[in-house]
Amino acid sequence: MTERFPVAALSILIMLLFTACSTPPKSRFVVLPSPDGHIGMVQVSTEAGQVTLNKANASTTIERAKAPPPEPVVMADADVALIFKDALEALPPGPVTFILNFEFATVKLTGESEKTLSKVLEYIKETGSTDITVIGHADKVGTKAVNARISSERAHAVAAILKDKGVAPSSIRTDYYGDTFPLVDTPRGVREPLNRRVEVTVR
Amino acid sequence: MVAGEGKGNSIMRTLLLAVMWLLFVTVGGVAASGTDEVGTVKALKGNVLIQRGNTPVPARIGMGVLRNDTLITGANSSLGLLFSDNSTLSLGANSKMHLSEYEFDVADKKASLVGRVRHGTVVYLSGLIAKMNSDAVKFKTPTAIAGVKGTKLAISVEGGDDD
Repeated sequence: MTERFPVAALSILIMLLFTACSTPPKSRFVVLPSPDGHIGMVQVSTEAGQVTLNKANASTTIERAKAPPPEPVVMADADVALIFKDALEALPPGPVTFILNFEFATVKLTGESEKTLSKVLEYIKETGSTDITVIGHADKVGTKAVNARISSERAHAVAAILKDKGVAPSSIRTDYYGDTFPLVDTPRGVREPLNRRVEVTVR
Repeated sequence: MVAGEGKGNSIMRTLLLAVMWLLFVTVGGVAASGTDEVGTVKALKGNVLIQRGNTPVPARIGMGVLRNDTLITGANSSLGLLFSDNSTLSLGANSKMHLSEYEFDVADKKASLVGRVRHGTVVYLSGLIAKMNSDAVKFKTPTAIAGVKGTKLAISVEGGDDD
């Protein structure tokens, strides 16, 4: 006990010194609309209470952990930008998925999908993404084995084009699911152009 | 502010911070077992460090982020991350955040993300973790905790401690 006392006293002294120079931190929370316009909910709690933020730009600013959070106020967009502009600009886009469709029983892209593929390449270039998944699918005409093979060939055909256009092979991961995950569910043996596809996800 | 009351609060807060810091240093070191990349640096400006254990490493595009990393930005700097659950997070200038928890395992139904914002500005757009478990995403500041249920949230901490 006697040995500990000076240590404890010193610690308190040091803490008092620190306290003297520090101002209490101020925490602000603002709920913003998601890119799709959706506004979720944030519950902000201190040791003394809780408020719910569930409107666009609803905000609460907390200066004391021992006091309940102040009732939400709605911030002007300009005020949000003033504080958060650089962080908002640095927020990267989430993954984007492009769907490419194929002619029946082939690895030949439809005319429309040729154009989409150009957009995929543009987007990869623009974002500099090194995390691209290429996943092949087939419709339910033919056996599961045949569809697994064609979906694999479709994925590899798209990956080959991407590589040919300068995307680093190490950035591309291919996979295939045959007819297991149709976009449009059909009975077996039904031709469905929307299910003959490759999904390219750029992260 | 009432001066006497404010001072009392500050002492308590400092004590609490000291205890939390000790817990963080002692427990945090052990908890830093995760070596799986949970996120990737996607946007970068200026002077940004990622502190792993006691080693600060300059961030670069494409660099992996691990659970328990601390993200630090300097003046005129910013950082943008994409997490494995498709959520995104960014820091504005002069900011510091510790990623104290991150779990995303669909098969094991594990989902959590906890960030400790020490100072500066942070923006977060929720992803699959918040969809899997509505109590899973939390941001802590020196004075408050925010539970995020599927939304975009901006946080600022002014005058926070530097550690």
